[in-house]
Amino acid sequence: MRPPDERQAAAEHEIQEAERALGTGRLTDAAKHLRQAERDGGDQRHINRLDRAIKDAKVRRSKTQQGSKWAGFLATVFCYLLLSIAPPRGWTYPVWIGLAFVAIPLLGGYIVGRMQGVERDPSFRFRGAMIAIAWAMFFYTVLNLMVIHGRIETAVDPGAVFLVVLFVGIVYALIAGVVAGFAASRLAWRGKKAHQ
Amino acid sequence: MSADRADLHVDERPDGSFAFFIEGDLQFDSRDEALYHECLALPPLALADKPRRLLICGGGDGLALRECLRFPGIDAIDLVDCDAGVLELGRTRFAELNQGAFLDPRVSVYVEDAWSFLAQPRQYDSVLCDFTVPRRPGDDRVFTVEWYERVRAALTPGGVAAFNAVSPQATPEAFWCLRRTVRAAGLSALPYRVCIPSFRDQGYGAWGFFLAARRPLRAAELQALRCPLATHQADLSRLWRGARFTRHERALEASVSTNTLANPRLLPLMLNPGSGELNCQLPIEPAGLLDLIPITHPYHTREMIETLAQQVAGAVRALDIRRLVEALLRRAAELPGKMVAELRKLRDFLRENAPDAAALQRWGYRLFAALVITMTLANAVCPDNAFAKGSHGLGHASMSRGYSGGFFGGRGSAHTSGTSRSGGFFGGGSPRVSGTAFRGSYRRGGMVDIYGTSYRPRYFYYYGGSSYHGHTGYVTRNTSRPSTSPEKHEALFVADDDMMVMDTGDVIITLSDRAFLLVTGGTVALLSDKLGEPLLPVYPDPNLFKSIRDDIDDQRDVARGEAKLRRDWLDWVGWTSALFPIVRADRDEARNLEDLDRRLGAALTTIGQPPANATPAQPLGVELFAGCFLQQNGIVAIRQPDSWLYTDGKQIWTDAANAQRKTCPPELADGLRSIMEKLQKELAADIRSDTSDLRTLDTDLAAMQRDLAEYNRYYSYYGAGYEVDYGTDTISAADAVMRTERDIADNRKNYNETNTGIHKSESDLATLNNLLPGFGH
Repeated sequence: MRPPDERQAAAEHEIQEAERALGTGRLTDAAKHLRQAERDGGDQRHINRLDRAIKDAKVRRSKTQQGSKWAGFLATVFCYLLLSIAPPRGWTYPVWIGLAFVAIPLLGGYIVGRMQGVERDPSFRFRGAMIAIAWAMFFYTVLNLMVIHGRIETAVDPGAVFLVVLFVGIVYALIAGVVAGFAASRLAWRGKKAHQ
Repeated sequence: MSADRADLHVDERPDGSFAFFIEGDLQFDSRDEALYHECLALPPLALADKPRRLLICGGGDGLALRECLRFPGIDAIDLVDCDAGVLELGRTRFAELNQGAFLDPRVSVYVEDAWSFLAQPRQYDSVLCDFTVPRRPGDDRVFTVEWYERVRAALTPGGVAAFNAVSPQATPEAFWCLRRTVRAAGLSALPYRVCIPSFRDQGYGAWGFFLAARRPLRAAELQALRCPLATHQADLSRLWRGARFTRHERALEASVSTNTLANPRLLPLMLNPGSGELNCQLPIEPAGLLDLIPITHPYHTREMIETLAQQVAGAVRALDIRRLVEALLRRAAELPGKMVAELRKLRDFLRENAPDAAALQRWGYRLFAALVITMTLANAVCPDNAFAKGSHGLGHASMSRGYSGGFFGGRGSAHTSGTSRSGGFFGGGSPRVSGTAFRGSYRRGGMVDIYGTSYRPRYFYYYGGSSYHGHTGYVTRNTSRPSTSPEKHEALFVADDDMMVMDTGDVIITLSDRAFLLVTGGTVALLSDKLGEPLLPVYPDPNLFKSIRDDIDDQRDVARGEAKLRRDWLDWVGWTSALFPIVRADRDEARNLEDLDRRLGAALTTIGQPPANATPAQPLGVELFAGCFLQQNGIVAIRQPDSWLYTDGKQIWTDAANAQRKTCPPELADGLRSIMEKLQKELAADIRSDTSDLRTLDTDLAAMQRDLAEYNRYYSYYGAGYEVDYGTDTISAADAVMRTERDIADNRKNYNETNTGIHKSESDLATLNNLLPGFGH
């Protein structure tokens, strides 16, 4: 058993670590340090205060996580709306591809990943971002194709056109979704780990 | 005899009696109207406490007014009716029947909405409401609690009101709804009914009325009713019998709601008699459910509802739910686990011996809802595909080309352009590619037009190159000509009804089935279908060239625009051409449209320009084609590059001094004759068509003049700002008058132009009829 002075110093250290972890969003680490501080006999006032702060942060994070997919989806939809101003040829193909399949999905995935938090499992962040941004790309593609083909009056099999639209929409959605998932899982918390 | 407005109809009879209808509803029959109006007007006056001031709401026919004026002691009557047409009839056609009631100095007529009229504080000893039966939402405002509250506020404490109601026999729920509504307004309501023969003949049944007052009214008062007037048709001493209703009839009042502005109940109850309130307990069996679907429009019938519902029910019944579930479970590996578990539960449920009807009904509703949602989504993605109206592509409703077949410029005339003239090849609007010719048959045999329609191949045989056609002396065939045979040229593109662009870029204008013009290299030649060599050179009229160039330019614009649309589509989906034949066909279509644009551009170069000093010809008679006229003396004059050529079908000569007359080549005579015969038919058709147009214009004019008279009437009655219906808009009376006057002026202008056109066509046709038989003989 440690001497009282050493135990007091260890408890202080754990409290500081808990505060640091809380500040960087590592709530699990913060709770662990706080428990250790409690075992070491730290100041109960600080421990209670930090405990409440950690609980509040968890509640806020839960709400943020719940809204992360929607935030990513809406941000991506907004960006695609801006992209719809001109057709692909209007942007030039390389620029359009870079924006539609790289930049915007990265942005959307990054938003989802950041809102999910560093402590979320990367695969979970990947899935969340992929679903949200894939839907956004799907709607962007399908709506644009519907509008464009609506202007063409040639009599064709509408079922075949429907299949083309669906296929292209799904493929584009998958590409954008994977890029967004990568951004959410790898880039959003690049260099930071859940447990430090 | 009909009134000026189509919704007011006075049905005259040989015996001098008549009936008055508003929107097909009988208002009164002169044979028994006194029965109605005596029963409406006299009881409240007899029951009121010394009535002096009266209000009549509605009743613009003046018949209730007549009864009120007969009653002793009446000092003043206000009549308010918003329908100026009915009031006009009341003052004119019905004046004899209402005994000049509107001329009585005690009467003040207000042409306005009764609702607004009673918004201001007024006091009357009796209020009579003689409104038309409501037929559409909004009409029942004057049958609501809010309206009867206004009437109550306008009644003196001893005053009595009378309201015409609906039939307690034909629409009992609506009748008792009205009574409940009157009572909800704080009035005592005494219902009674009267059997009016003309109403019965119309199928309305016995007609209902209400007496209403602030004080309690009892049926005994009706029994003791003493009217100081003699009645002509009504027996008021027996009126109390009409106030007797069975307990079952009275019980209906408890089952209906009041009619309010926020919750209008009267119209649904009138349209669905026998249904009671529509929130009663639902029966289980589907047939009963159909009966509960309310009719919400007076022109809908129960049969229409049932037919529609049966079609839907048939579709649902055709589904074999068991097979569907089994098929889905066979694909269980591809389905989410939870769905598989639900499907297994459904399968087990269906296998049970005694399926619960209510549960089946729930499943049926869910399935029905899913089908409706699926079909709605499918229609949103592929409009009209789900409802099989014939779709022409994703996101497109059914369309029609919509151009009336006109005749481009008439025989290659220089004076009109096929694209700018309505009724020409393009009709009234810009063409769109809707056919599939550019997806398959373009340049694979056959012609196409800008709409994407394929035509069978058409070949012309002539010598190519402009130099040969520029030779001035070849008219008699005594000129040098190429030693080779005429070349076969295929028509590539149909630019107009009678204009084709050839594969070489030449332009051919067909004048008849045996003669055509060839335009190339700044020259024009008349050719016969039978010969490969030209019959004549024709003067290169600059207007003709301009028309051709404008037409081709317009079609190039269309081709470019359509190609761009397809390129926009291919920007997204072009990479799937290896997977989807439809995308490959889209790619081919875009390429072909771009190819057409290039070829039409080449054609503009090939046809060239006329000489800079070329001038249009002045008309010399009936124009057969550009620069060719049939003169009144039966001689055809053809303008050539450096002279005029004349022929009567037997000989030809030029306008040079001492020009020799030579025998007219039979091909030339035959060609000219065929052109004239075709022109005859076309002129006759134009005359028929224009004459029909004149009839239509006359009909439109009559309708517009009627409308103008009505708008002027509103203008003078209500002022310039009064809002009237103008087509589907609502505008001020002043605007309506101005617009109608402008429409009438346009109508007259079109009429005059068409008439002028008919005269010209008739004159030309007469000339042709006279001269054609002798041409060449």
